[in-house]
Amino acid sequence: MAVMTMASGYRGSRFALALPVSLLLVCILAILHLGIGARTIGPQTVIQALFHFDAKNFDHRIIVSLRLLRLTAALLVGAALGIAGVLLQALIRNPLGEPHILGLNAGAAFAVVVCTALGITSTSQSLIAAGGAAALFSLVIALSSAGRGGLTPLKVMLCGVALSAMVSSLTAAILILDEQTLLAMRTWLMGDLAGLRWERVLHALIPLVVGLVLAVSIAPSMNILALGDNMARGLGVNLLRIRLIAMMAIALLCGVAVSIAGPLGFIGLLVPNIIRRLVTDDIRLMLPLAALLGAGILLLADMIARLLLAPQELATGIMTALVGAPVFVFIASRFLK
Amino acid sequence: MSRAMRNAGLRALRVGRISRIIRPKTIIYSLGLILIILAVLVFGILQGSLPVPASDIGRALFYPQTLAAEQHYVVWDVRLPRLLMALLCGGMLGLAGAAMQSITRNGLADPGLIGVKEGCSIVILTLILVFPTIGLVWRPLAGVVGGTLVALLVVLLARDFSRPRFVLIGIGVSWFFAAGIGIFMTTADVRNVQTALVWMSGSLQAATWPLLLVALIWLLPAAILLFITARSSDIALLGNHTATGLGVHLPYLALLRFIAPVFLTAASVSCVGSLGFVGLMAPHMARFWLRGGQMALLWGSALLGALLVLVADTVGRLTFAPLQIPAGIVIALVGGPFFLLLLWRRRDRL
Amino acid sequence: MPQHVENIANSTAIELKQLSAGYRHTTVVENVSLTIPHGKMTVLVGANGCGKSTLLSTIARMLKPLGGSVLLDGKAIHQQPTKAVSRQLGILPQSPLVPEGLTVFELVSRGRFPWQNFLQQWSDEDELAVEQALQLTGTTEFAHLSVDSLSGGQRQRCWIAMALAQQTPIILLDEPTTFLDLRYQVEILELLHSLTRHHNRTVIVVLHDLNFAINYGDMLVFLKQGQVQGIVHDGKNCTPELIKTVFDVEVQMSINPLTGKPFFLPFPATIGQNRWPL
Repeated sequence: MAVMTMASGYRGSRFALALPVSLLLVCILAILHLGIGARTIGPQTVIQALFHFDAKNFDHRIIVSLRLLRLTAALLVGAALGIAGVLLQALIRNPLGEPHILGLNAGAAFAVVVCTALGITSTSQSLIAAGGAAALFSLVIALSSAGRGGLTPLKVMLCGVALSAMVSSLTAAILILDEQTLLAMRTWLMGDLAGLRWERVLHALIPLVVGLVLAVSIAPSMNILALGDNMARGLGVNLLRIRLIAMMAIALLCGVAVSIAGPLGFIGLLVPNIIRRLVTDDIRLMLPLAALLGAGILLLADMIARLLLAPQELATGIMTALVGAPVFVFIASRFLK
Repeated sequence: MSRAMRNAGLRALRVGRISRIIRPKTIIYSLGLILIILAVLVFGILQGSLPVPASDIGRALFYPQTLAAEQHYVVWDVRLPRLLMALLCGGMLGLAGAAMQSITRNGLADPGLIGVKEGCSIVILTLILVFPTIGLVWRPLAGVVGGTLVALLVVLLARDFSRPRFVLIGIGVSWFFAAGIGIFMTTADVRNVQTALVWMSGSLQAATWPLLLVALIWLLPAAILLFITARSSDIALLGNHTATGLGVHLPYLALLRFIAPVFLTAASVSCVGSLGFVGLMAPHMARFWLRGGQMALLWGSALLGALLVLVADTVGRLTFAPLQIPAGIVIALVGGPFFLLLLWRRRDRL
Repeated sequence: MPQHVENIANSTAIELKQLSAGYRHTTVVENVSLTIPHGKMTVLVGANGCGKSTLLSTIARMLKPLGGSVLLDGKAIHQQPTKAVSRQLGILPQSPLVPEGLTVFELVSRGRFPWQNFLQQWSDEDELAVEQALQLTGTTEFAHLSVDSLSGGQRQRCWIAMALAQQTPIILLDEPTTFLDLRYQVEILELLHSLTRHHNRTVIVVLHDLNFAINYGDMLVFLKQGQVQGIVHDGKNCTPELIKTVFDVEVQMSINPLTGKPFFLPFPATIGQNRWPL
């Protein structure tokens, strides 16, 4: 008992440090993010615009009416992906778990593309995306759980890749057959925060909140799940229910992220691994940190994507992949003997 | 000839100074496959936006001058190169997959999975951007260089290609380079992007006789290499120690049998873009239908790969006419479930 | 300190000269000098980790020697081209891989690889050798079945058939009888024995079981921590003290009435002296 309290106390102190630091970092990044654009605006002006808004100041208007949207979207998407990543890796007990790799993004993107091609623009695009994500992900998990070894990292990965590839080809087929949809979606398909509208973000809020609530509610049980199926069952955890709720939460969060910014990869991979390495692996503590860290990383990636080849703006998803893929390779070579 | 040999389905073939051990059933099945390929080929020549009557097939192939100008053009300048290209590229990918699976002793290995396609595409896209007027001949060369470098990177990172993590690391590397391709896709002109998307999805539309020749030039040396090392490869399958004991020089063999598939895949992608997981499927189908060692596997994979791509291209060309769906997408749609079936069957072993 | 032992027998096939072997930074076998007798069965014995498999692998040229050399007919084996060596030396490693669906006949015919070339892939000699190998190992009846459908003992016999088809004067086997039923252990050792007696082959084998080794081995090499502790010819001079040194166990020696060779039972020599308090 004493040992456990000591351990959690130690972790707790790291967390107590990490939380405010991450908060501060996100704030700084947010201010810098608002400053970027066709017209660079200094941090001083940004802060002024946020707290002492002057309708007659041109810079202030740009920040509030244009850039604030992109910032909000980035924060929400980053947080959602970060939390989804934590849940996912806990669910499959595998540090290589990631919404993109395991088919969630491909399923969500496919659902969205099909709807756009069919002309269905609905307010619940997030839900459609979430549905697609959930469907494909369930398939991946179901297939890779079969067999004697159960859910091994290799099987999950391979199923995820195969199903993602298949569904992506379907998506590509639709886009080839329909040039208009391609035009509208090519950047979005890479995962990007450009060309947003407030409606999309607002419509995603409710599913996002639901997902967050679900995530927080199962966090303690997820901690116990990490001890192994038998242990968890012995401690009174209803495995099936927890897993279903977790999958719902993950699907909702990914659906939200995909419906706003398209299929963005690797944030869900980086965030849990970083937190686990540096701070804690207690899921209850990881969740808020994941939200902040995910938001921060996405902001950073978005800024780099826009500045790297200025004035040409790169899709943010490309940036996350360029960093995330090597990290994946690194983890894979360490984790899999 | 002993009863044991006969029961195992083998026969000896001795002609002059050449002696071989053969499996008659395999030979018969292969001939059957060739017939099926020819049948689909003829079908493809006759069908399309400008149908050619079946009775004219003889004239179309052997006395083309006697055809109407339109028909001549369609058959000889459009369809035949395209169909032959499908066969050639399918064969190349089949061979590549069979060779790579045998040397890595991993049934899920395919040069296409480990980033060769992406490496190839990146170099070629860069080439097109920087030297837009460069001749067609240089594309496969650039592509092969790109593909080989990426493959070597994966080997370097994974250090050991007979372990399952080799495939995973390859997948990670392919994502990295796919992001690079994404840079092109989101920053270039939309029309270029759509052309590139179509090419990368595996399109045989651009097949011409010169391109066919280029592909053939890349195919022949690599294929010959693979066939010559087929027997040693059979021995290598028995384990490193046994193979060394039987006099096989493993490091050389591994290098050759790894590089050749990479070359073949990169050459195929350079010519017609990505054709999905042909290299993954063809060897498994071959093993299912044909029995025998590496030789049978190579032939079988080549023939089945060729058939697969031919059928996929024909389906993509004719089903939604006049809209053309690239062969690569058709194959991915078939290949996806196939891959999953494969995973399902190996679920206890992974 | 090198331990060189002169052999009284006729012609030597393999000679180890001050051989040190191991892996990149670890020396497992140190400074062994030995002459392997021609036409006889040499057995390497010792506790786990003593280096017997490493020694066998180095003799078989799988591993490069860290010092000294292995001479095959007077020439260093590691400098000879590998295909030439494979006509002299056949190997059965500890856990060979079987590709799926391979039939016994095909597996055994793989053993002919060193004698084949691109043109001649199945000569009359090849066919004859495979037939003979199948007969010798009693595997002709299931030659058309796939190897992975056979039992452990049958599978092992198939691998030995492959090594026999290779028709090499020298055969090396690494623990060919481990994990096999008693009956198959005896079968295989009898087969190996008759290979030396009736077919003039030289056999070098690593065995786990001491008594089998003494019974069948013409020359026993006892290894401990990479060094030769003793060499026993035809079961002579094999003492309990030697066994104690090599295996760290008290044994009682008796004489096998059928063969006249010793066998050892791991009992304390002084019965009645209870070591364990009851």
